[in-house]
Amino acid sequence: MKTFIAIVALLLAAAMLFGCTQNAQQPPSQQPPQGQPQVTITPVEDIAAQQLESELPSGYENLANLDDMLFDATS
Amino acid sequence: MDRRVLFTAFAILFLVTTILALDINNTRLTNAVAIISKWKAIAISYLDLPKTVPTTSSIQALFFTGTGIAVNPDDKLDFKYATVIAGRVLVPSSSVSENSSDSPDLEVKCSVPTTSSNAKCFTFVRAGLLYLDKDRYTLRKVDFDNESATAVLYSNGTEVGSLSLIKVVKMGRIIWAGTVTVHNLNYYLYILGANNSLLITGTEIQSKVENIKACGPKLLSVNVTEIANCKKNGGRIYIGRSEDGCPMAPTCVTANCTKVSAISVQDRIDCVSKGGTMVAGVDDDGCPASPKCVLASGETEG
Repeated sequence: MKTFIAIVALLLAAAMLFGCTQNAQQPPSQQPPQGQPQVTITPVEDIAAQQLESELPSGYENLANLDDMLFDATS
Repeated sequence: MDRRVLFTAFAILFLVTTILALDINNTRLTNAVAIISKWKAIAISYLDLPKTVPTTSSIQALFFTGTGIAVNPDDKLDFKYATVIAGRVLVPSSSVSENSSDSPDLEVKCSVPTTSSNAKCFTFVRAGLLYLDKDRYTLRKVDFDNESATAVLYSNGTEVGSLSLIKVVKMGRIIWAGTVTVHNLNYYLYILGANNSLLITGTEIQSKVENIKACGPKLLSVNVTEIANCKKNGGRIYIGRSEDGCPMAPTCVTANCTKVSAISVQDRIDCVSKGGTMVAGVDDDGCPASPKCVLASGETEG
């Protein structure tokens, strides 16, 4: 019985230690420092995505591709 | 007796933990070398750096693009028309906002200084877009190695899902196959690659892809938390291939990253007062890079 209690206590201690390490690994909150104006600018990832939008395929290329594939497969 | 039991239990736990840690490190080290060489193959080359500092953004290279269909495996009539594009965009450093300055998608590449001119630094962003029918999602935390790709999906600045794709060559055409998870719904995604002159096509990697044994892709997904945890300390999500060319489970691979100091508020203020922008981002291996103050001229300060 004592052995069982000792093992359970050990597991609990390990779980608590694991929890503490996980908490310590949490990144610090990214709140802006007080007194500084909060600047809202479009994230650069979104600016880049907007730029990529210009090269987005229309989908009509697929029909041409499929035509080519079918032609290659049947010829 | 109790002490003996406790001591034995602790000793066993310690031994098991040590063995596991050693095993994981060994595997990572072996894989990392091969994987990182693939990342180097798509890294920004000095030859790709522009001569002048950009004032507007422009696409430097495309990773993959195309259109296809996303199908819900549980409901075959629940399918969506999918259009996707991902690549690397050159942006003016002044466009990098405070929140994006240490983004894992941000890459800063500086030219080599010459006798006549100082080194100039340029900011590049890995980004992408996915349309499912008319719903628009931006891609962030983009990892790409010319054979596979993963990303997190954002809608209106909020994480809503993830994407994992592998390249398959069938009938001489490139097809990107994988899964997309949106609002906790999984879809199988098949994208017929579109041609574009900006697409990255390494000749060596391309020939390897052609030789991969057709095994049918295992549609593996990667969740947002896995990607976020991987990026926290520097790392890239990698979908490897088994010996017969079949895709394996996505894993987080980290290089031997050196610890860098975070951007301090004072450094940022000093940089802004000189008309510059504080940027960090990641290096070619995905490791967090040292913060730099990039001035409007492209030169760095401090």
